Amino acid sequence: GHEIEDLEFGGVHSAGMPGPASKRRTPASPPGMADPHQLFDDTSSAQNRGYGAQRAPGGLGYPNTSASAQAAFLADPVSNMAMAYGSSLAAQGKELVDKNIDRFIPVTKLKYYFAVDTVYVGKKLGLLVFPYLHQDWEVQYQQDTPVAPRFDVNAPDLYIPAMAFITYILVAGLALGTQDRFSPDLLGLQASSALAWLALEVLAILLSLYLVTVNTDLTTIDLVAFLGYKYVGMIGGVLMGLLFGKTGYYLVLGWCCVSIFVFMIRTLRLKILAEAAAEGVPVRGARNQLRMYLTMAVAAAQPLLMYWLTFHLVR
Amino acid sequence: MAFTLYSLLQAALLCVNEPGIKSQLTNLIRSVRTVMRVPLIIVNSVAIVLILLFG
Repeated sequence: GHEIEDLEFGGVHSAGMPGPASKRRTPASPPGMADPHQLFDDTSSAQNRGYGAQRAPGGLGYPNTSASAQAAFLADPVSNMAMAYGSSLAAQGKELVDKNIDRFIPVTKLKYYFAVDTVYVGKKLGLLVFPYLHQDWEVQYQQDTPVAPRFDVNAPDLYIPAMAFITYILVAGLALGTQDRFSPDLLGLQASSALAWLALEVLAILLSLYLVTVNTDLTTIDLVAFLGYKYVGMIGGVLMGLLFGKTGYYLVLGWCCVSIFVFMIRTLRLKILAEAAAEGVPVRGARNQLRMYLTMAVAAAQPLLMYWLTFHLVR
Repeated sequence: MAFTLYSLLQAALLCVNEPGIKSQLTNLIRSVRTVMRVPLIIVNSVAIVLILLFG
């Protein structure tokens, strides 16, 4: 009895350890403070003077502004008033947004798509790259609502697409930087063009689903999640292209294209061709054939877009 | 290559010949026209006034 008490006490004590340990870890030097002038390393020599002139006056948010310039900026009474007014305006706007947010963006439904854990993310990434051995693609239901992604590897989530999109933007910046073609506004350009293609895809697929009168439970957010999975393959391709040149890029991109194609077909078949696919019957009849062609078209658009959005990054 | 081209052609033919798609398209165009009629009148009037004022 005495040893057991000691072990329990040891267990409780070790559970309490991460607390002060994590507190000790946080006062590391914040990024940017070590080298204050390296926030955006621009490699385009022609724009060097322009950036130097641009960065000097507008240093409100950057930690690399010199302390004297910032102090002079804040001491001015007019700018003080302007800051106070601006912050009160922001607070009012925030109240308004908080009151009306649920009308425009279904926040509670979005939370479902981010209920993931590490095991799910690992299994899903493996499934995206190698979907050939997975047998059961049905999403499990629990009293009429689909189970959270944490408990079912087939459920769509928005965590992987969101993270993959951001990583794609960063990797695109990295790739452009290694070719001396980088400038910070190119990041915004890449992000908005990828988002525009995504929006176009979603609209086109929604339109074709409406025209073919498919009775499906595929929601718009589900569709965004499925279409966002291709960024994983794009990241892999660009990274391999950075490491091993064009052959590596084509190899990995080709592999990821085929995997995404198979993944999309097997996932969408269950959503669009629900009755036929559930029994495993080969599709017959004009309507089913049309739905099958629609699924194949959606799946074939993924490799095309993957190539279109990355080929200019690898030289 | 020939197989996929033929299946593309087949899909296009199926698409156009489906009675469901034609009625859905007409429905869509009619509803878009109904919804956009009033806003378009307003936007066009504003555009005409602005063009008259500012050439």
